[in-house]
Amino acid sequence: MSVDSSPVQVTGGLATRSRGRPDRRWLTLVPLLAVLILLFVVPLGTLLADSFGGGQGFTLDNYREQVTSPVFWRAIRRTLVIAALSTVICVVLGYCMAYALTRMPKRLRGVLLVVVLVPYFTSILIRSYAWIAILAPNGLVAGTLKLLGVDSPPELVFNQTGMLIGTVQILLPLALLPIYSVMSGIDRAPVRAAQSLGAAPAVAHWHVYRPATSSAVLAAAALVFISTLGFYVTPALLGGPGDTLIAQSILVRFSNLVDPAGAAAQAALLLLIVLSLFTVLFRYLAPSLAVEPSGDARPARRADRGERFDALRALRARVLDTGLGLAGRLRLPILVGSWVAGAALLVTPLVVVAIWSFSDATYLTFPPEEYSTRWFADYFADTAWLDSTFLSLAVASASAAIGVVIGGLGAFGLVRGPRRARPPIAILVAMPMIMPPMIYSLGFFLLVAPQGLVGTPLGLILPYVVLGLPFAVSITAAALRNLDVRLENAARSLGAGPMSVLRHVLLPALRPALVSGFVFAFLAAFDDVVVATFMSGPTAVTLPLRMFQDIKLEVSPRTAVVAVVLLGAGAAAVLLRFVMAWLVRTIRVALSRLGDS
Amino acid sequence: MKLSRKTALGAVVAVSTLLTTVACGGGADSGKTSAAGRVIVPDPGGDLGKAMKKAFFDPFEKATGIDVVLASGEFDAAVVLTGVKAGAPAFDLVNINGAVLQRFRDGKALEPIDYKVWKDGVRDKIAPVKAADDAVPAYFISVVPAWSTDKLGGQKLTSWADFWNVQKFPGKRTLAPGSWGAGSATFEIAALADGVAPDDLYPIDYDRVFKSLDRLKPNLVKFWETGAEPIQLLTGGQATVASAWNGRVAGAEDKGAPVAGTWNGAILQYDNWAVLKGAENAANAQKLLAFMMEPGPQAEFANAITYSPANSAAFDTLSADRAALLPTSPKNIASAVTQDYAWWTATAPGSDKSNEEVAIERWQAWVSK
Repeated sequence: MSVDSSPVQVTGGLATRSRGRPDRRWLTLVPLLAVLILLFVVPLGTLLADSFGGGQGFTLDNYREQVTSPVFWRAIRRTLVIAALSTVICVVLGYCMAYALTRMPKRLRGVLLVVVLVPYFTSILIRSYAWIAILAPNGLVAGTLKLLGVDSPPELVFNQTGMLIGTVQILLPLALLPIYSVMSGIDRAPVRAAQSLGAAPAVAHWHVYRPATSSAVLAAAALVFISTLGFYVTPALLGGPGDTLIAQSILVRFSNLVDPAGAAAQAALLLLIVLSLFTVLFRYLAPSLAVEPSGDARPARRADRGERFDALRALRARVLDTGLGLAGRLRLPILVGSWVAGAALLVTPLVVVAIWSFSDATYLTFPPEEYSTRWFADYFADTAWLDSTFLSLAVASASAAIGVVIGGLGAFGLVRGPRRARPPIAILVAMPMIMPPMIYSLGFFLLVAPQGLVGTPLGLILPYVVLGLPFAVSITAAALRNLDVRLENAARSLGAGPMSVLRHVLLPALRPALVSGFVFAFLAAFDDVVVATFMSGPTAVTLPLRMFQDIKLEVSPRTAVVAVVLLGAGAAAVLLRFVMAWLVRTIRVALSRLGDS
Repeated sequence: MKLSRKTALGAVVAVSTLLTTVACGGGADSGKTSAAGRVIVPDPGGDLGKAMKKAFFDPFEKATGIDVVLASGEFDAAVVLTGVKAGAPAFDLVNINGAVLQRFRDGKALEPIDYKVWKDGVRDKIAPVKAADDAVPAYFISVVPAWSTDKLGGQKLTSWADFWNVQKFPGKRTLAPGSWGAGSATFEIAALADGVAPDDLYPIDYDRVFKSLDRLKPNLVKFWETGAEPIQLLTGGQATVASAWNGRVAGAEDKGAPVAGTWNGAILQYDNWAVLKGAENAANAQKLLAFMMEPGPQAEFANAITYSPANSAAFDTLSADRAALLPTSPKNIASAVTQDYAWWTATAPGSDKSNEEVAIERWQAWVSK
């Protein structure tokens, strides 16, 4: 423990103690814990209590049935493999893309960030249909390959490859943005210094730059891995016969077998497996990835273990050097390639969707035989669709705003607060993400249904705050860990009060993280179907739920129209911001000139 | 710079507050009801939803002034059941698949049907399945073999055995997932394809069914998840032959999609109307149900979509051409198999589970191999 303790914490502790007043920073954890306990632990607890309850009294039957079922273990194994693969792909691709972003001119960055966020503008369902159109044997990829002379293209969809492609597309932004939000705050001077001292670019990157990003990489990996566990729509549409993942298995248990207790037992087991996996991984992986932002603690540990692993380390170093040499020489192709691959992944389905929205057909045929705007007319003539659009925007922004405030405060308490409380709180914060939304929604629904919250905006906002918190907390915490606590201490020692420190030190430094936390919390709510299934009732049908229902019942281009309308609105908002900024500037200039004369 | 940051933050907060108010206002607005009250029904959507609106809901609103609120929320039996148990059913009147109905009965989630508000003689005309005390058959639909005419040209399938015959009808296949239980009809289909006589279908011979499915598996592209998906896979060219609901096939043909189907081997299914226990607008639900089951609206419904009316008197007013397109018309039902929901919901021998639960669990084991 003492070896692992980061220097940041030591200084932090000393600084407060030396000032001789009690450290009250843990107080910022209170709202976070209150929300998580009231809105997450309690509903889930009541549901889990059900999984131990049979006909009479306490029973482990539900668990025995799952643990002894090969079906359950097969689904778990398949899920873990897919989750691990998509995590590796997302993190590697996301890391390269994020790094490339930081080296680009500011204006281009904005455009490319929009590319990253673009996929969120449409329902997961229609994106999956777009992937089918692209990847199927008669689809775009096969067509292109045929032109190039490849006659038997690889099977890309209705198997695990298709599942993986669909999953990576959805989760790539989740890996990219947290990494980028940390990278954009890193000072490049030490890297330049290392290079000027003779280190090759890739070597300098590896030893100087990478350690500073490792906490963000870990956070991104955890986010992606955990999110994959709850997926069921994409695997169901893009997977082959029999590619059942655990979320589908839980769903079948709940919906088709009407066995909520069994479903809760499966969810609890999944939670247990994931938690133990994470404990092991963090135990053995975290030190070697240098979670601590500063390198000061490392030499001590190196010396400690060095003797035993000398040979192994020499080998590792040689492999690393060769790899770094290669990566350094290929860094431009790698960075450009990552963006080409990433952008293709993120944008191609959207292009297909956009073309579909102008299709005249009743079904989704690609390319459409005739074009028309009749589906647009259909959308704008239907007030139900417009109502849903506004409801979703409102609910998602309200829950994201609440989530960022509570989560930001909580992240501060988590990073700067008492060290001992950290692991349990971190686990608690990650729980809403690990828990399949189906199970959580069910627990929440059972708790609040008698209170008449079903079908009200509040009934949607509350669970969405919970679902957004893991993003808000983990992204902000990653940025905070990279922020030198001495800055805050310096401000305080110069007489700044807590509000002042918040305004002048923390908020400016954490802004990118808070913004990406907001974006993710917003998207978690804006893209959700599962919670809405339970909480929408007949009166508050959210947009994703309406899209989901619509395309489930009738595969038509209408859902494609929604995507294009949202994209258009987003573009208009961005444009409006630029126009407003320009107006403000012009007016200010004009006013100052007026003042001068 | 500092100013713009603060304004941006302020704007975000202001906009979220504003939007919330707008949304809450909107919510209250759509909750407004007419003097005669309302009744909440799940919107089945698609062509079925349109047919119901045209034949049942619009005329009912006009006749009574009662608003029919179509809730497009997901109709998931488990979710609806939990709502009833929590004392807050999401709907008043629901239509439930024949095998799922038993779960609602077991969960004591249904109100008795109030036949006092029905017109005389209507209840006796509900056939071939009789109206029960707590549920009324809603309509009959069939799962039929369908195929892409683009891919097969003039070739026509005539049985489920042809569905399995990839030499004669080459191309990928898609079926409904057996994890749906009886609703998928996949167990019956696999048995019929293997040569089981329609009369010997029940009890389902699982070993034979899964052996039959093993033979098809290399040619199965995937299992479809929604009623619209088999048609999408056929028109998109990812599948050549599919099982699909007859109304979906007919709807696609009407819209000019290159899809065709056959009545041979049709698996006849039916849904039930039922009033949920604790329904807020139970009285209105009973009125709507009584209205829908009258011969007039029933015939109107069968004219709007190719699903059979549950009131046999409706056939008196249907044209012969139209009747020929319906699942229960004499010619079409000749080679059809009616799903035996009594068997599906019965307790499986030697266990405390229903036959459907056993079937789903065996399916899960087979499919994850």
